[in-house]
Amino acid sequence: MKKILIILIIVLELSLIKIPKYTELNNLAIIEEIAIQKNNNYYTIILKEIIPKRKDQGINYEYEYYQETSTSITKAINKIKQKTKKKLYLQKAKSLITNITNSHEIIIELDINPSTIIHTNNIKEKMN
Amino acid sequence: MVNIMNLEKYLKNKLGPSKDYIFKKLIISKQKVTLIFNETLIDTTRTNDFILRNLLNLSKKDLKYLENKLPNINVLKINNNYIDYLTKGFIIIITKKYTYAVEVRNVLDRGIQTIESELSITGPKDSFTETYNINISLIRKRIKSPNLYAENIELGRITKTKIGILYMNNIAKKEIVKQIKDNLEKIDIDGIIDSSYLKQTLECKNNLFPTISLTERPDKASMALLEGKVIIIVDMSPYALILPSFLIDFFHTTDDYYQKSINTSFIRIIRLFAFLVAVFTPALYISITTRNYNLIPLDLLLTLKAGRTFVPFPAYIEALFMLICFEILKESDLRMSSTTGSAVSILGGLILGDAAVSAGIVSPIMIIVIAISSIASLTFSSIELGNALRNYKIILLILSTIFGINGLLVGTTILLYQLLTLKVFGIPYLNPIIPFEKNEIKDTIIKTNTNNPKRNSQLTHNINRGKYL
Repeated sequence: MKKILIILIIVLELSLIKIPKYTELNNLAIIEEIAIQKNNNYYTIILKEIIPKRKDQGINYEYEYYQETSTSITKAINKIKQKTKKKLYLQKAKSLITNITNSHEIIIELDINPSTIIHTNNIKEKMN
Repeated sequence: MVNIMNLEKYLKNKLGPSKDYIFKKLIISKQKVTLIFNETLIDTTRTNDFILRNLLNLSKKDLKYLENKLPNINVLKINNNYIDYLTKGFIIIITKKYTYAVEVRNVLDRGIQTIESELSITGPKDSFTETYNINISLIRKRIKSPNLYAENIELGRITKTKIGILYMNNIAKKEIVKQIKDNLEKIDIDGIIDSSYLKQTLECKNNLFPTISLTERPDKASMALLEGKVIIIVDMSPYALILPSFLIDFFHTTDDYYQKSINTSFIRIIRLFAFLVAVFTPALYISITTRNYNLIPLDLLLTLKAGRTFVPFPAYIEALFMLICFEILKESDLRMSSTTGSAVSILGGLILGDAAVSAGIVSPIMIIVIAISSIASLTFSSIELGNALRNYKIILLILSTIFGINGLLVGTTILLYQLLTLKVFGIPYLNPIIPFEKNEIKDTIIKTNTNNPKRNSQLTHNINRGKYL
């Protein structure tokens, strides 16, 4: 009886919470800023990846930018994924720069929670 | 039974070509007397002074009453078990009609030395030795009570090792004592070389946690006796077994009772924290760096990522590699003398660690994680508990590699299941926390000043305990 109960608990633990895919930190692109511009039903997405590099004294931060255009945000993101060969980690993005007025939809679609949302027509200019 | 006329021939035949068995023939008052002994096991000075000198002065009539004529304590008239007596350091004296065994065993002893493995800041420094009688006397000196029973049995078909079962007759639960004795009597083995042999056979199977403590401290053994536990002492072993032992016992040291309660409580909380760190840190690190990044803040994630910049191996391989390296270092350090050992530690711990980080083979954070986890497991003096922690650490590491934080939860469930279902001589392993034992709860993790008038009812029969002033 005890064993059956313990097996049930283990099965519950494994099934209740989704197990995220295994990704090494070196294969993880941590995105700090997301910029999305909509022009004539085309979405241009620019992602700013933050790359921390270990130095003799402390950490040095380098940045890499990825840009793609497609008919939807998801398609543009997928294009970037294919290009970088890394897992894009958008959830910790600090800011969202966009010309789309209803940025709430983007937040839901990308499952992000940026602390800053900037509305502008020139996203490239606003990116740090 | 061997005829006394043929005894010498029989023994020569039994003992074979060994040259340390001496057959010495004497003529005393015109009567032939043969002395048989093992020269490595007997004390030659005592033999010369108390046996030979006295024997040579005896008359023919006296030879019939040797037990009254020799000044030794153990002079026995025997008619069997000759080999047993010889191997125990007795001299066999064969006269015309009788055979005697006289104890003149050599004391092969390194003396009472200071503790090596369970160091304490305060408290006594003496430790058990390989000599059975000294070990018993170290306890008897502390507990001067006729209720301290020291029963003997012999185990080992070939070694015939003397095993002492010590308990307080007025405190210990008779059922537990009987169960221990029964378990010991069931052991059928060629030889008992050390108390650890018994530990393996008496310990609960199918569980990684230790249920018997080993101690070289007579004060710890005495404390355990007063708590109603049973001590097993094995001849030629400097470690006594304390049984039954529960998980909480491994969090306690003798020092806890030699200092203020508040300090004891603080250090016990630290030990509990060390226990958790030792088991969970590597697994938690692996799950948050390979699957569950969302559980940590961005700044920490960036620091962790920076640490792994040039590391070519997956995190779990790196963790296992580091764990193995630490075990190799620990093992080499244990087997070396203290002077060489410290050199190995410096070379392995500092130089190799630094070189590995510089070469980009391992990340500095991984070194911190494995080092803190391994050092935390060294907080416990019990090697067996350290081994259990290491095994669970590896199990959790593998589970969290496969399932992330879910794996860690599964591992924790298994760990809790093992702890909750384990019973030592019928008593739950988590006693006195689960089941709740109100008599003992004030001396578990938090030690309070209030005295517990009763002892652990699982081990005794609620007998009143002496109170502190």
